[in-house]
Amino acid sequence: MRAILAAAVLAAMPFVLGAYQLSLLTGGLAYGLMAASLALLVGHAGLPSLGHAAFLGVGAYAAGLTAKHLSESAVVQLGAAVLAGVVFALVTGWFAVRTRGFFFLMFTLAIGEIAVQAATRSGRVTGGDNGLSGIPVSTLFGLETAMPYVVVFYWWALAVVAAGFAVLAAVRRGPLGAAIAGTRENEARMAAFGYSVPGVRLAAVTVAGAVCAAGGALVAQKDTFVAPTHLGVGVSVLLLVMVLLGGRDSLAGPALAAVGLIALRDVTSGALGDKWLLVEGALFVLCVYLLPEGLAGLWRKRARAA
Amino acid sequence: MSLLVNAFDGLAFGALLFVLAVGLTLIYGMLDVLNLAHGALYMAGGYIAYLLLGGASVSLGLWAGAALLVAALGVALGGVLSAAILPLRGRGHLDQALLTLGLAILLSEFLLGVVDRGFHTLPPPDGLDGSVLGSYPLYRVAVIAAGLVIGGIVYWIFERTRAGALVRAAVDDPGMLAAIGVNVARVRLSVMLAGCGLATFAGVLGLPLLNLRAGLDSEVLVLALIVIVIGGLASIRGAVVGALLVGQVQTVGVALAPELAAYLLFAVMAAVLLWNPSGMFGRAR
Repeated sequence: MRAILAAAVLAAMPFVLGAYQLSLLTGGLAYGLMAASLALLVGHAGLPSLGHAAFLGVGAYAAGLTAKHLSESAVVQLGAAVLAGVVFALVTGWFAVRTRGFFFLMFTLAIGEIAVQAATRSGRVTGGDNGLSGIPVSTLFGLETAMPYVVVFYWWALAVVAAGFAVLAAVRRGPLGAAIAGTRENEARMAAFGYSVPGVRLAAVTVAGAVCAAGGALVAQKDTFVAPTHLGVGVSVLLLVMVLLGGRDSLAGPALAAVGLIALRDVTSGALGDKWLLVEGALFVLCVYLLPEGLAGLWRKRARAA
Repeated sequence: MSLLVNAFDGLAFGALLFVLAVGLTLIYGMLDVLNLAHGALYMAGGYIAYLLLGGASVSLGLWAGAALLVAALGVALGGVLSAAILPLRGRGHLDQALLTLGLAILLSEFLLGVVDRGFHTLPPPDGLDGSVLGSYPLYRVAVIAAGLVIGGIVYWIFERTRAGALVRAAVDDPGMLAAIGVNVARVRLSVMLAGCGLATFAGVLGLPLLNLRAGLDSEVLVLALIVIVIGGLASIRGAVVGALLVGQVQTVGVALAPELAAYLLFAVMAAVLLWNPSGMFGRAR
């Protein structure tokens, strides 16, 4: 019910906000979806990934390359991004889920950094260090000829984000979500019940990766540009800050934190420039000290007290 | 012939990685803390030496003095890190790792703010700036020697002294060690301090090999982590083997197949994990 209400309010935003704010919100929503997909891994599956931005990058490059060489249709690009996300999740996850705790963290961090190197070195395909530029503006069912592009693209992004959230929420509530939580709480017992623990974990990584790649496609379509930095530790850390700030046991919390942080980053980027990273680091440290359960934790505490 | 040169470069790079990774792996084994600030400490060592020496070639004595000063600073930073982690006792390991990551961002961004984000380097000190066997840089031979010496010292302390025995015992069974009256907290702290000192020292050692720049911290951190994933946590032997392997992949691998070098690193790591998910010399924990 609350989700439908939130979607309705968000859908009405083009009638309230100007073009600039709408574009900020579009970026915020895309990152919100990606942060929520990371929360599924960190909070629900107990798999702390430090390389989640690799999925963003894989989705963004897949969508961008599809736009340049195959099709200008936003839907086709989204499909390509999700497919690439699934393949990447299966290939890297197959190894990653065999590790635990810190090893998982180290392994995912390494995968993210290797992905950056791969994107930088394969210059002929990805544009190398300069990034993939000249991505054509995607077509959106022809609606873009009838209305301002910012508005149509916002609704497209909102639809993708809503669908991604629906997938994440369904997985969390369904039997797979219960199995995922089970492997987090007690591996040995889940194995005794006959579950394949790596299999369940791989499913979690694949769902989170596919959803994150969808968010990456939105980033590529919105900016019509992808760079190797999109895959790097910096972005992975930003996503993790969103999850910590919003609360790792929640989906809406990280998404809200993402909208806030992306808006803050884009508004202050002119004034702060590279010093934004100092703000990010400070926020990170403060979150770990002061908000062990994130803002969602504060919310729950208040609800319990009342 | 050129492959042999590459292999030698790989040895030098591996020696540097070993100095960085051995501290990281022992800190994990002792404190159960994954110190994600290790790359930032390396970077801090490099930038502070660069600021102290002004980017010019200096005498070997001055260079060594600066390196020792930087290592001492690393020990102090290790103390700050230990104090920062203390309030998180009893919370998950993840929170401690994330805290070190946040502090690492603050440290490296601060340094980049003091200097700038561009490329900087420092030539080898006088006496080590020549070449041997015709054209091979003498400094790389010196780095290999330094790696051997440091590795030897660490191994000797670890295997042959009472302090090393205490460290090994604290990895295996801290409860028993405390019960026989050893101050385990002090043993842990000294490993943390020594590991951080080695990290900043590695930053000085690596100055003529790797340019200072934005992003250097995560680059070396990731390489050190790959070393540990390959070698196994809390194992000195693992750090040696892992560092040598990564060093070769990053030099010979890049020379043989520049486009595939990134995947090669992943392939090595994945192959080791398939064989033993805790790394070559790792124990299940």
